[in-house]
Amino acid sequence: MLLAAVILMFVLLPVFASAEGIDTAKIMKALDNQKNILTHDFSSVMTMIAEDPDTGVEKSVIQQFRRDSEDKFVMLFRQPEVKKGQGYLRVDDNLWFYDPESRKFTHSSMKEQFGGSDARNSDFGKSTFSEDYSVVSASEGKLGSFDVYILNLKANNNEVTYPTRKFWVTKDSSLILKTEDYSETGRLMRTALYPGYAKVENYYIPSRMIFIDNLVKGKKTQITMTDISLAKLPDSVFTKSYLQRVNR
Amino acid sequence: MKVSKIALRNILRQKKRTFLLGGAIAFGMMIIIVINSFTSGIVVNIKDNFTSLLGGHVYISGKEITPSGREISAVRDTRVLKEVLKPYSDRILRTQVRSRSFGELIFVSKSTLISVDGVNWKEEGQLLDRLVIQSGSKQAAVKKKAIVIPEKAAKDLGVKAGESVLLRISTVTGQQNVGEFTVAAIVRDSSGFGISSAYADIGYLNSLLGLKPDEYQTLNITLKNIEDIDAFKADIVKKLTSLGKMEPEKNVLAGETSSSTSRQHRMGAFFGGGMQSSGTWKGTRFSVMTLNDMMAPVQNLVSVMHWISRGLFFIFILIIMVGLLNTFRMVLIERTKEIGTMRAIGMQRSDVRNSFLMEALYLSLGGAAAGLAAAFIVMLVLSLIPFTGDSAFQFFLKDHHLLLPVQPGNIIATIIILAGITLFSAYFPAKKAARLKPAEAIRTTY
Repeated sequence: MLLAAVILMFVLLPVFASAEGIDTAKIMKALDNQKNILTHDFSSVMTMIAEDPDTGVEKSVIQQFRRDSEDKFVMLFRQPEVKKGQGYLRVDDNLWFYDPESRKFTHSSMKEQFGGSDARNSDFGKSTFSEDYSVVSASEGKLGSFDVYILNLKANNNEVTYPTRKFWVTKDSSLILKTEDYSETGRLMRTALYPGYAKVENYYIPSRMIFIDNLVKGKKTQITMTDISLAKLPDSVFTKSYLQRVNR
Repeated sequence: MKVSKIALRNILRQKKRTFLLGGAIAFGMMIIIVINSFTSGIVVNIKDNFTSLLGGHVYISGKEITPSGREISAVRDTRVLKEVLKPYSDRILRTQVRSRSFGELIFVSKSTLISVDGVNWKEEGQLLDRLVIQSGSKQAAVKKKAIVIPEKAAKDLGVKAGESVLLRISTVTGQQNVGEFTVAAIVRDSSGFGISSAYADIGYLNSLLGLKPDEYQTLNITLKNIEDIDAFKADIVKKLTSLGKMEPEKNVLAGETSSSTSRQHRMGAFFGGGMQSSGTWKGTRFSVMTLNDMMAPVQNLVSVMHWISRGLFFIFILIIMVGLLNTFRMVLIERTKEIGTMRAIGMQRSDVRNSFLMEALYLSLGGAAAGLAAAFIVMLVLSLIPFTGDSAFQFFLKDHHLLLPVQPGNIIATIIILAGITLFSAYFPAKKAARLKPAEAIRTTY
């Protein structure tokens, strides 16, 4: 019996050693570096298909502008007609929502839902994973045909949307393939899948994202990014007056 | 004495006319008394229902600013308010604490947005009594993970009492959280007034909000005298201001507002927690709201009803005035010879005038008395009818019945107005009758 236990220990040891040997700090830093486009501005057109068993399917088209070096972004709804002209403006720690009907800006939060979908505003901002989360455990595994690190994260502060998360990150290029987001009570709330990346210069941009609501059966959101560009954007884009102006 | 006897005899002489004219006055009197009583009862019932549902008359909320500048709704240091309220304890009937969150109630593939009030059921027996249970039980509602939901939410979700639902909410600092509840009871909806809340145990809701069991978001105060609300608020605001504990007024920047057409954004501002603050302070700052602030839309509705009743009363008065004027002109013509005869045998001009006026006064007082009696009967019958139908209408009721209080001041004022109007209408024919010359009056033929 004792011999069997010793043999089992030696068989399992390399696996544990491997998990403990993972440089999680490096992976977290790599995730931020990969997600943040610090040397360029970024723009794209996002097509968002939100499926809700109650309300049906809604297609939205959003113009996205990002300047991660200054933690700024603008998200402007082009479709559907009912949301046309609505937009989000992130500058410093502030996030405003603009409603063209009332022509008013309201303070919003990065933790809120994005345009009523399963995505959160924080999914589109500058990534600060390495600051916001600590890795409580890490292991190696496979996701489909990809070799991945599986990281269990716990929030370091209350500035984040989800207090606990689980990431599947490719070993070779530090790309997030899947995340699971948990509530404070430990219940799985959302699964995010990143099945497609587009390479633009040295950056890998998630060109397709799927957010599955694990609480409401059948509710999910798919986002596809097209017209990706790293061209310089005018400073005036990241202002309130821009959102007001484009609606005239 | 003789004059009043003559007036009484004249009234009884024309029974049909008296009945029609007095009937019109009685009808007007009845309508105005019933409508005023109805609106007054509604106000009383709505105030009572609001008091139960909101947990008191005065609501003190606390806010903190996190180190990162986020505003969160929480009262963690409960001693401050205890000290502030101490000098006013003789005006307070009871205090209750509540937490509140706006979230998404989920049942399988369906979800609905709802506000959830965390209540201490042991201290809020009055609320439990007021809730009209559709299905489930009040006993089950007091369990830790139980939730009481309005019937509209239950219908939207297709959930029944005894089944489990999930509640997706944000903690006070804005993190996502989810709790599992058992639907203990489904209650009649009061969403017509925008306060359709679900209720859950404050301890469990606090744990989901990231608060400790003894912490809360709002302290609700029930006063001994409901008329004391505004004065009490003024005293508390003054006290909190002197301690530097009042939440500063919001600065509305150009082009910014706290309102939005987007429901999520609007609700997020109130319930989402973790919103960026426009001010900075240390510790907890408080804001004070009252039942009267919440009642403003209802008061507007009642005010409209009062104006409608006044309008109706005015129309009735006009009709009565025209009727009386015509009647007394006819009476003058009919009794010209009689007046001439009485004047010839020594009746004074003032007696003739007074007999007309007394006749009008008897008519109005008799009509008012009949109207009052009819109003009491109508009010009694209405108050005995049980209304079990429309859910929003229940908010106007007390135990499924209308409350129709008798208002002596209103009744006296109505009688005085009616008497005054009647006397005014009869005055001109009376004056004309008094001026008749006896010989000419006797000779007159029509």
